[in-house]
Amino acid sequence: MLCERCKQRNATTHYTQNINGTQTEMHICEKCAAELSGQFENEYGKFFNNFGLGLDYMLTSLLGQDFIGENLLTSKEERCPMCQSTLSSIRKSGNVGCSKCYETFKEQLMPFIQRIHGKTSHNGKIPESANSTINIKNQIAEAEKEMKSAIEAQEFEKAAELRDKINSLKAEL
Amino acid sequence: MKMWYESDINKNSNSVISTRVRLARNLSDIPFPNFMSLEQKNDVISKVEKVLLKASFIKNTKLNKIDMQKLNDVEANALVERRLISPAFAKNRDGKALFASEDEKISVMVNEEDHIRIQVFSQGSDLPLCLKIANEVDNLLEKNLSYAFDNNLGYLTQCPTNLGTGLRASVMLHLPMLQQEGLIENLSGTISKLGMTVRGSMGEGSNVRGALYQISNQVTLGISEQSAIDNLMSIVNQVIKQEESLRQSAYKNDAIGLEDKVYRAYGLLLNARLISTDELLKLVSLLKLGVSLGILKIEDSKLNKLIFESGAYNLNLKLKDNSSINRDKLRAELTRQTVGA
Ligand SMILES: [Zn+2]
Ligand SMILES: [Zn+2]
Repeated sequence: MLCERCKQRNATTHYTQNINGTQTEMHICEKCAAELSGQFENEYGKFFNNFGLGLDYMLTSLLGQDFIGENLLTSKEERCPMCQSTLSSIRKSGNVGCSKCYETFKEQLMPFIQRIHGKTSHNGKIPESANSTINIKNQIAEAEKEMKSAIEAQEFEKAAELRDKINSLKAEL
Repeated sequence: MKMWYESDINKNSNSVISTRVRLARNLSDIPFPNFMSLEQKNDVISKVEKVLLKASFIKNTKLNKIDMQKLNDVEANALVERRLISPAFAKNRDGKALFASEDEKISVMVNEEDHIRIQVFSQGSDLPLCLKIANEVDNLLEKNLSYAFDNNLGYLTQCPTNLGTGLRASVMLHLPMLQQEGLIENLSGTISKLGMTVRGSMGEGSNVRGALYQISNQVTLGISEQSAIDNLMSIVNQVIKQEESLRQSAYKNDAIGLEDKVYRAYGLLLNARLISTDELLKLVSLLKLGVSLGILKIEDSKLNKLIFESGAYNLNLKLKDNSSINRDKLRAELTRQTVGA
């Protein structure tokens, strides 16, 4: 079979593209596959290769090559408390199960997120409700800093006051 | 009722067909659609419904509910052809609902890839207006529902490619000369380096029909909504500039040759008794090129309406006896009415 993209080389790879939820399938050659998936030079990149693709492009080799990095997963994988997803189920589907998955697998997901967007921190609209939460969290962080320095300065009365303040702020969250 | 693609005024170059802004949102404490039970899906629908059905947006626009379960395949796919919903949304319709204004300018898909997808369309490239309306809908929903949001990752979405703003803005462009000169691939490489993509709007790869392309932003995390649409607009403007300068020089080099092509297309569209979608898009592309060079005069919105409404499923809706020959016949009739008037 000829590559459906360049129509020059033999197709060796099965390529699924997910465009806003629409799946299109095609058979493509290795060179086109590499072009579509971008460059993953180093070992680190290689390990995350398939996962990164799963997010937008899923490549499963027609030749039956195994999922790269499968051996790095253990059988007693951590599960998301809300949706029961595991890291490998997320990797296979390219979809995250629920909003809690982002907390549960934060460490493992961050490199992929960075790969996709080049950045890891939001710089756009904030819902008003979150805005007030962020405010409270900032106040807590501030009070905790003050409490620490109060303790260091052995001002225990002030530290106790701050502890009460922190507790009441936490209750607001 | 006039649809958005016929009633809006295109203030931009005729190379710009339309613009779409989409915001992806999810509710906290409920798994994403792939992991939801039907009960949870219906629960999300009723939550969104309570907010949207009593609301009114710009120019007193109301949204109506379309229960996707109640549509048949033809009705659902006709919505896909008019770009109102994604093909995936038309497929398994249980536990899905669409809220849309009558002119289809504003819509909300519930339980597509994310719980909530707000979409706003406009003719031309009025990205700021689309974003403004989408934000209006978003603010109202946010006030009444609890969104899944993270300080670092922004709006949490089922696919990590939408994290952050959840904003996907796209502009549909008519690029016949860039296509003819084989420059799209080049362009696509440059654009992807800037965090955006270009792809065929109707058909992919070498089979991009009607020279219709879509440029959209890819990166959603770490960039504000405003910067994302500003970047997109500046790319779109550059692409249009290139396309138009190619048009001018092609016309200068061979005026009679180009006029001949345009008038032949015009003649076919005026007289054909049977026409396929492929042929229609090819000829309309030439006609639009002719209009932009001042060779012919036909309202752009009329041609855009023809593009949006002459798909097989939309024609099927109007036909008692649905056969491909009947569709080609009806398509030719609509074309004659559009081009001839
Ligand atoms: Zn190839
Ligand atoms: Zn989860």
